[in-house]
Amino acid sequence: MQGLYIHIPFCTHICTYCDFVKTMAREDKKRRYVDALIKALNKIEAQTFDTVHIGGGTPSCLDHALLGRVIETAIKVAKHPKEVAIECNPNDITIEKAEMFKTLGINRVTLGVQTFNGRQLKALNRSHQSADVKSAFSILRSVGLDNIAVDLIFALPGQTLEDLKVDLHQLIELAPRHISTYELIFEPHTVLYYNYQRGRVNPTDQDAAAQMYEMIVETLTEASYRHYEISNFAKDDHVSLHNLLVWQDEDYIGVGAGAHSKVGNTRYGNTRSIEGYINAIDNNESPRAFTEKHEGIRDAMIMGLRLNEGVHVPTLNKKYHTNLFKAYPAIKQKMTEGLLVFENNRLMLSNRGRLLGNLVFEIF
Amino acid sequence: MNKSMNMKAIESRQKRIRNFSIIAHIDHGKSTLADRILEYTKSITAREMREQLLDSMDLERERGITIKLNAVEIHHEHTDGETYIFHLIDTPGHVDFTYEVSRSLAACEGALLVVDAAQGIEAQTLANVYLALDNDLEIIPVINKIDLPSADVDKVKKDIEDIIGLDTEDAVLISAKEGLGIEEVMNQIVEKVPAPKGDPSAPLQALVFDSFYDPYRGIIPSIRIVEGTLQNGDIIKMMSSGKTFEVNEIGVTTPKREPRDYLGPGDVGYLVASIKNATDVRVGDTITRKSPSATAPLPGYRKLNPMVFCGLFPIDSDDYPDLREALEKLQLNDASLIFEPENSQALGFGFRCGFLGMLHMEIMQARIDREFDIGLIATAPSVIYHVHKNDGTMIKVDNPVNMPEVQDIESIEEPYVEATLMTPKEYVGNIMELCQQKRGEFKTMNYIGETRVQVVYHIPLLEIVYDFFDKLKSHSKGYASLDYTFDGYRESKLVKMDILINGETVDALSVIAHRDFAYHRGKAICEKLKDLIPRHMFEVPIQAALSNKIIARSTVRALRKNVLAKCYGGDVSRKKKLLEKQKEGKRRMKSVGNVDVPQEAFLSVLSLDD
Repeated sequence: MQGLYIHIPFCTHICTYCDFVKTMAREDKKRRYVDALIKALNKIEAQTFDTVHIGGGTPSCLDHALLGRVIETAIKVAKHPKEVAIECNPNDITIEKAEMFKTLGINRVTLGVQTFNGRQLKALNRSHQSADVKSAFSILRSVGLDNIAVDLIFALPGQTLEDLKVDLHQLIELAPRHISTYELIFEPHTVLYYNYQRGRVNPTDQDAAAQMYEMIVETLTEASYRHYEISNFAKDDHVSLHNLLVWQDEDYIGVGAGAHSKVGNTRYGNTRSIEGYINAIDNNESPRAFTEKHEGIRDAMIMGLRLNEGVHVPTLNKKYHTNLFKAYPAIKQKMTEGLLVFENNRLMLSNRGRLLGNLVFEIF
Repeated sequence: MNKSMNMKAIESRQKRIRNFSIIAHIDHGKSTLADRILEYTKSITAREMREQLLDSMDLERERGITIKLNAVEIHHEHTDGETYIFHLIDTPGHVDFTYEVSRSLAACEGALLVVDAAQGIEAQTLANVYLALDNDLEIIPVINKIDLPSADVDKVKKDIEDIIGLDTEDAVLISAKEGLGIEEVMNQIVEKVPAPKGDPSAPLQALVFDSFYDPYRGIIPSIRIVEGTLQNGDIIKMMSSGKTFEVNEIGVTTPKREPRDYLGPGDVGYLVASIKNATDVRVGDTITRKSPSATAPLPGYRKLNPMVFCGLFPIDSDDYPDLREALEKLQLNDASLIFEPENSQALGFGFRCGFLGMLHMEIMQARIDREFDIGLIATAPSVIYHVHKNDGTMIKVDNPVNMPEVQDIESIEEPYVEATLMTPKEYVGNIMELCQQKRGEFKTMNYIGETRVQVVYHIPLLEIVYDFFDKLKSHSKGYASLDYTFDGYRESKLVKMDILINGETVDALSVIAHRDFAYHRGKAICEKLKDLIPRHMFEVPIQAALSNKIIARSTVRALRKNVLAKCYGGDVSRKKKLLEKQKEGKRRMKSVGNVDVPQEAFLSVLSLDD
């Protein structure tokens, strides 16, 4: 299994919490960047990819022609991928765009909904309004793009349990096939963090955030979403194949500024500078900013334990020529503490373990 | 006496020697003036000076104070055509080191009293002036920073005359920073400071006023020859212990060590004699020749006793041997540091250490951290209590852990100090309030000039070692100064307070408190610990107890959520760094029972907001 990731670092609005590579750029810069992406994509030869994931930033903020070229090239390079997903802002979904997605072969659209609360959307500096979400759903469905995934953020400043419940119910009503719920993180170098340092906004306290998480799991499970990863829920088998292969220790190649790759036992990351990336590709130089070793079992465990099904220990032992329990005696301790469970040869986080995952990840 | 020594040359040299110190409060410009004098005599270049001069340790520079004493030989061509030999003997500027100061002054015939023209006289300055007077030194008043807009020379002169009774008619007005008035300082040193007395043919008497440790040559004492002469190959005797050593090198510091053939009366220098044990070289001791030997030592020697004690434990128990080695090395330089092994149930193996005072303790801890790179946990400082037991015996307790059971105690005495505080008059109310809070007993109050007040209190040393200095600063915007001397033991209503974490008594957190303040203090400690101890998988109760009776309680709630929300391809490296940071944080904590307690928790009893 192998995935292909393409990063589009452009946005029309900068969300207060976002620390990914992103920028508001003029059209000519977007065009030069897309030219570079196409060139880089075309250089990947003689490989096939099971998934293509176009992320950002905001891929949907590229104009019709530029976005079309990216999608077309990516699918051509991947050679019959099973999943072709793109991240979109709800207000960017027009009938033209949706038809193009369908025509070119996109089969999964992830909408950055975050919340339905107008006040909160404004506080996050999102470009869309809550009504845009419903409209995006109908447009996508009208062209036959039913595989819609949604990102939701919780523990927003000032958000109550009740507010979150409203968000969840509005979402369930729209019946997306996949829901990701992320706790708001105050990352350095964001507007949110800047305001936090000046005492203008405070993170939700840990107890409230835990309570929210528990409510999400309960509510979505009741609405027959399968909780399959710490922050992810899917109807039936509509899991994110691309993310799944990342969690399952498979290889992926990232194209674009700031994109990361894992190939065999090597990880590398591209420069975060957009101009730097364009120049490197133009001059036939490597855009890589760093290369590091993939830390075998450690990475496999940190990623694999995120999945509710956990890690199949005999498979892992074979892959890394090891004996997991002997190599990491602390696993037993975490089992005693009730954070890990071992069942049917699989090691997985318990319900409490999913709330305290870092206490488990740190032993590897 | 060796024939090669020319008695005439020795006597001629002796007449041209001037030994002096600089007495000044922190920031009043002692180091700057010393720099100027060295520059003026072209002893070393300014660049060399920065690198190696009087305040040679980083810590000293950072704190703007001198801890370790140094002596420098300087040559000065005077207007009379003669070349004079100056020995500038530096003194530490902190109350913890009063005895060292007194020994340094005893090595001098004169002292420059440097007073900031804008600030006036401070408590510490006054204390050192008295030490100089005790040693019969010629005192030359020097008023510094006269270039400051806020300088008030007449007021400072009047202060000096009123408080000390010194004539200020000839006071030198300088700006050490601008280099103004330095020549006049030099002239007055030559003209006013007497040449050292002393008979070169008398039996040797040399005063030890400091010592240094050299990894290749052992302990090197700094000495002042008072009587007789010293030369290479002499067998010397330490008069306090009777131990003898053979001298392999003598010399002066310029500030590099320069070997000499001999040293005569008035000379200030060093000697190397393969001395391995720091305790063999006591500041204040007298060195004589094995034969002929002086009949009596120089006056004023006393063995210094530590006043403040604390436990030092390595965070990582594997560092225990390294900590021992670090303490041994520090002791080579500083015989006033004492330590013995201590075993704490909570913290494992460590050392109970004794210090001259709070600053001395802080400096030692900082040096262990910086120079030896050992993560340390320090317990709250303690004083020595005299505990009278029911059976009529008295024991000395310097560690709350060793306090006998309540039912065995008849009474407890604690050390008191006489604290002299000087402050601008607008803060006197604040300061008196602080002293009352600290169980101080008012003695006297004097106005010094029109704007400054000297207040004297008797205060338990225990209160001084807690947060007195910090509080004093905040109560006076940094303007008040403090000097204290030991003032005997007094009976007090003291109790031992235990702290329980998760139901277990943590011995290293036990403190002695006055009974009337125990409830308040216990509550404050519990609250503070609640904020310092991170959340665990389980709820952690924190309790304060007086002989098994719980008087205060707080709770660290259980950890509820700690998980990376997202982890996609892009984040792996960064998230791993985050996990590393989390682990590193835990490594810096001490596991007590099954609770991770951070370093600062063990000092939490110190800085409580009242």
